[in-house]
Amino acid sequence: MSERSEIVSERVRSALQAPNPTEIVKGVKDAVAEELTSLSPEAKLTYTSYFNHSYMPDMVLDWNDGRAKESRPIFLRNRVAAGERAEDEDVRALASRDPVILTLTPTSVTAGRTELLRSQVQSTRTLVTGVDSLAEVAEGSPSPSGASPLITLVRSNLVRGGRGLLTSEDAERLVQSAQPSDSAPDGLLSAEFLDGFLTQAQQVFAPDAALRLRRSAELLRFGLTGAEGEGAQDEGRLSKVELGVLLPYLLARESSRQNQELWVRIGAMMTFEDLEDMWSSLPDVDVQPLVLPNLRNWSARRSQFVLNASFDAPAAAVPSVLEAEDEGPNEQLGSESIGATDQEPSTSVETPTPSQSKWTVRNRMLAIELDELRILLSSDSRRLKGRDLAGVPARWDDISGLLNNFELIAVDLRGASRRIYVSAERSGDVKADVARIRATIDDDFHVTEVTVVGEGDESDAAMAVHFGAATATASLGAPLISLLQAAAALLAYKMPLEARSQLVAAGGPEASVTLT
Amino acid sequence: MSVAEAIQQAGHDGVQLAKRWLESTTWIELPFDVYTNTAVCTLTRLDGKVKRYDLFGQIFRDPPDPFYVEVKNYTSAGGKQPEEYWEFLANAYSITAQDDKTEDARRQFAWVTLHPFEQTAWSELTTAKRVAKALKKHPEVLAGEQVNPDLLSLTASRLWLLVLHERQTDLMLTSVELAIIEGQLNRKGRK
Repeated sequence: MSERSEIVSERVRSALQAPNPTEIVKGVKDAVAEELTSLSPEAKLTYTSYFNHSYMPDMVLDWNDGRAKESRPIFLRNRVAAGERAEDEDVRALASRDPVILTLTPTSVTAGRTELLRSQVQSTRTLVTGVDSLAEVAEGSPSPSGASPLITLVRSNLVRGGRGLLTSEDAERLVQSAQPSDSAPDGLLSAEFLDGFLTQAQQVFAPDAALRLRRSAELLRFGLTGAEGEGAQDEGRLSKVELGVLLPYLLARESSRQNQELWVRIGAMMTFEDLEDMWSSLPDVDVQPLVLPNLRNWSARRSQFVLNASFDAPAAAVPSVLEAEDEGPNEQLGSESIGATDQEPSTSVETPTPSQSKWTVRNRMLAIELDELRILLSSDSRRLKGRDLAGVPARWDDISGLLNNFELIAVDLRGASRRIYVSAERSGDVKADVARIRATIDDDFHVTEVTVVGEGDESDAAMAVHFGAATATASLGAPLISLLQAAAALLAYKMPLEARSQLVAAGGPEASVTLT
Repeated sequence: MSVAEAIQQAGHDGVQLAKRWLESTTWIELPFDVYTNTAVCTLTRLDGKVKRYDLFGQIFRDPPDPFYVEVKNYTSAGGKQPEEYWEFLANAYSITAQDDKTEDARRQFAWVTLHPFEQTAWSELTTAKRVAKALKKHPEVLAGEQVNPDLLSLTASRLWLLVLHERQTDLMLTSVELAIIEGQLNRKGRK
């Protein structure tokens, strides 16, 4: 029995002998709740007003994490001594409610009777276990190399998807099966090891939960070794808990970072919103391997081009145009939005040693950073408020060439003497119309906003690129790649060519655009 | 399994059966049993001796009444059951009288058996007269005190004698049905 098991068992035993009912109920429920919330921290645990009741649960666990909402009643029992008729009846009576029947004292039965109860509950979605067994799993294996991701997944799935009888010996075996030996580095998650784990998992988990564990285990193996498992299931959506385990682990390992196919698979089993929600689990982690293969598949609603005000750049690297900006800091990000000024674009800045771009998730937003330049992407426009809408518009002649990277849908040209609005509603070829207007009317046109569609965007998602706010907004969502290109090519048009080129390059070959 | 273990097992089965049946009435909860929660299942008589009940809980009245249950898993009318029932009655009086010295705890005492006994005297088994007779058989529970007629009546009014058969579980509402109606009935009076 692990130390944690002994501690919680003693705590429960002591509570059960309390001199009054209130102390018993509170003491026991609090001790059990610690184990349950330790295993399922993402679930909401509610105490009922009942204790050890025949048909009213003691507690209810609710999950609401992107998969269907799930709920599981927890029935505390002084004992479920396997094979005893009365308890068998109790187990049978509750079976249709997919319960967790949790014994408060360690079970002590003969092997034959354990097997009797095991066979009785195996075909149901009833989990019969003890608080000591939960603690056994919650503690996991004291491996010097740290908890294996499989153990973390076992823990988080046990109460939600466990079924059958789980004695403390079963719990110990399960934990051991999920922990590779210390002599084998995690890169050697062998087929044999995984088979052993999956066999154990199938005993303990309901088919859907076992399948989810198998999927995660296969992803880990594929990521670390490149080896395909038989019957690997790359379908469905990964839960937040699964992502919380898989992403930090796989992103921290060079072998899996290099496995592009892995990230394509994972990307197909999650959304951009899922990645945003993971921000606190991925502090300062470069998520480039995951983001790049999914730029075209994931959608967002807004991108913004900003200046990282806290960047400590070499003096030569900061273009004079930035120093001329005088905008208030973006409090949320400690950054400053950069839009157009009426100065000429600067292309004569000395470039220091090549900079490394980095994709990170912070404050529920994806950011690509390159020195002081930053493009933010968000699925929620409210998170990216943008710069003052009354910011300086762009000169048409400065951006017209860059618009060749996009399909132009609408533009509002403001000259000194005329204002002309051209949109696709009136013309099939807005770009050609604007070119004719520009050629025939002698005026210096400025634009506050252009509406464009990203090149190759099959969804034809329109993006409103606002030069004053330094934002590109797709109210119905647009592929990340389109929003990234809009920010890098259009909103950053005042930045040095070299910097813009690196920003675009950070999006991979697919994001490539013409910047001159 | 040894004979002693088998007897203990049979007793334990009876306790669990009684608990499920009584709780299925929706009026009662019995969270505590003597095997696990000895302290709260133990009461003190006038003579200072303690009596342990198989189950303890409450009847959902306003305010709730403490409910102590003694379960007998007998399979015939003979044996020790009649004898033990006399003791049960005497203990109920003695504990009620002990409470009366400070504050009435309104304790209810139930005898749940899987086999009827003393059928010829059945209608009298929970009367004050029967309790008085029990005290004559077990004077030690009085610790020398006089019998109080009011307390005899009070004790008798708090006695429950119930016969249970295993097959009654076939007529009980299911766990799911009971959970549904509990929400409607709110016997426990949750806010």
